[in-house]
Amino acid sequence: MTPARRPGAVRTAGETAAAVRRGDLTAVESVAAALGRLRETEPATHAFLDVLEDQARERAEEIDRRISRGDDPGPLAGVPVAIKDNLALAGHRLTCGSGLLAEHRAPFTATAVERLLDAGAIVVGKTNLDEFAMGSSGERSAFGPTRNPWDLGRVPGGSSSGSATAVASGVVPLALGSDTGGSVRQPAAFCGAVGLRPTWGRVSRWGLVAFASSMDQVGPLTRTVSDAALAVSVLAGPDTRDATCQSPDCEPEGGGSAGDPDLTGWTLGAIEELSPEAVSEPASESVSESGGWARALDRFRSLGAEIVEVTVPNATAALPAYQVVSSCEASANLARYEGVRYGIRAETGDLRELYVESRSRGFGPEVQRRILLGTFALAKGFRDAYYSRAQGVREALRRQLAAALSTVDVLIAPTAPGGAFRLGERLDDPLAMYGSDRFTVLASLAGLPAVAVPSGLDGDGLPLSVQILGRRFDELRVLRAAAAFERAVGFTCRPALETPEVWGGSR
Amino acid sequence: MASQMEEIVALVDRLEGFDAVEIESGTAVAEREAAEREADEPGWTGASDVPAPCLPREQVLGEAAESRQGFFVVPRVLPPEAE
Repeated sequence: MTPARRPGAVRTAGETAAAVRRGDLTAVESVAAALGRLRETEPATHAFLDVLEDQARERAEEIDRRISRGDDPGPLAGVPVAIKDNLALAGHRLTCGSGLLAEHRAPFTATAVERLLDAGAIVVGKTNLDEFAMGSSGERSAFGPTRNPWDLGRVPGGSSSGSATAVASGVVPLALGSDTGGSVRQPAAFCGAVGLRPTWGRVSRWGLVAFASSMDQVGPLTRTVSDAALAVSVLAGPDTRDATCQSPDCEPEGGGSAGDPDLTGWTLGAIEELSPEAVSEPASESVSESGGWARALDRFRSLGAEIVEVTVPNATAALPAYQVVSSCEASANLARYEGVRYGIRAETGDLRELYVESRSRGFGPEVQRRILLGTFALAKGFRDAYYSRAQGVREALRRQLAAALSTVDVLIAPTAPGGAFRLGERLDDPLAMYGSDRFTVLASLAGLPAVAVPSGLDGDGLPLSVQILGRRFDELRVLRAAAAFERAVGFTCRPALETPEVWGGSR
Repeated sequence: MASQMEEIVALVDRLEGFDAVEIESGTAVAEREAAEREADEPGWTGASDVPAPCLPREQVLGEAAESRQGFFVVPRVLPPEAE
């Protein structure tokens, strides 16, 4: 069932903060609106695992008191935000969408969350996700699937399923997700939102539960490019608690309203190996939206940009390389969940049985599958053939992308092979599920910044998306191109979510 | 799950046909600064970091205010309910 469309009328994060700082809107009113919207949409979408109503209201009152005293709470003053439940918020549950951590509470707050709070944001809830961020549909949460607000019979994408849904359904203008292989960009694409994966090293991962450490990155989901720029300007910066966070100062404001009016003089590289015509595997998935991609290219041309085809030979190897590297790292990172220190514990008389039973009961099938693959690929006798080989292919890909980016301003590609697929359609077909990420894993493997921007609707009325990739730490250029494209597309459609009754109890 | 694993292994077997670069273990996409500092490094006022053999455990524990069973005893950091 596809709800009717209506123009988006909800404030952006930037507009909300400006209104709160001016005194045209109180933080209490802002939070009340978000919580009201959440109550309307949540029964249908299941975007949230925890709603922090009391805490959000108290914090809003505190922000309003600060403003009445003449203080400036910061660039996100009074903005309601949602946080993916693999990011720590002190004293609150940190489940990672896993039954294993159903009652685990965070003893500290993640740096990325702390920076939002320091900028005046107000956390209204923790969002649903595929277990341990391993999934591309939002169906792999131990607490039940999230549904796409554009069509409740379809997936919202994953793994940041709840964050994308919360933004798309108008609960919050800004949510945090994490992106390892595309977990911010792909759900943003399926939900008609903007999703930014910052450069690996731009934003601290302190307090983000590790999945694949060489690729994990925290990123914002928003309704506009301007809000993504605002968010990353708040999130970016070195952190002594994350040695990989080497971030030079960010200057992303140009990504918003101050961005270029057009792209005259820009050269965009369309990755030849990722064109809809070139991608045809696995057979169960068709690249149905070649028309959408052609329209997106026309939009870029109408902005004055020159589009050249660039070749990245290892682009089609990115998906298997990603599967090997991410699974190997996951098998190591998740070894800590053995039933002793964290999460549920199977009561057995034997330590070995305790490990086996706790992990077997606690982890869902997708997590188990990836741990098995990673352990296999790291085993003596297989390591060279799989892990080392995948790392070698990855490094070659990184160099090919760097070479391509040395000849153009940014690279462009579809974000996903098509619009959101139906719930349950790929649950028993892991290859088709993994194929959803085939366009997003490139930036992940190479540590590049990439943003997903809505490009229109497909024949079923579902959002499509274009991905823009840039050089390391060149978020500014990526966001400027995205802002120009966003203006040209004029994507103002939103899913119509009025009250649960609208959907006739379809959940 | 066994048949699905076979399909996944077949997918990753495709890596064989692509260019690969030999890299050292621990290589990352980001260039990282060396952890060791030099005495003449701007902003660093200490001595140069020099790798040296590890101190004997007994000597290190002897410097601690309190030790037990081969470990330092430190004040509780987290409240009991946070554990």
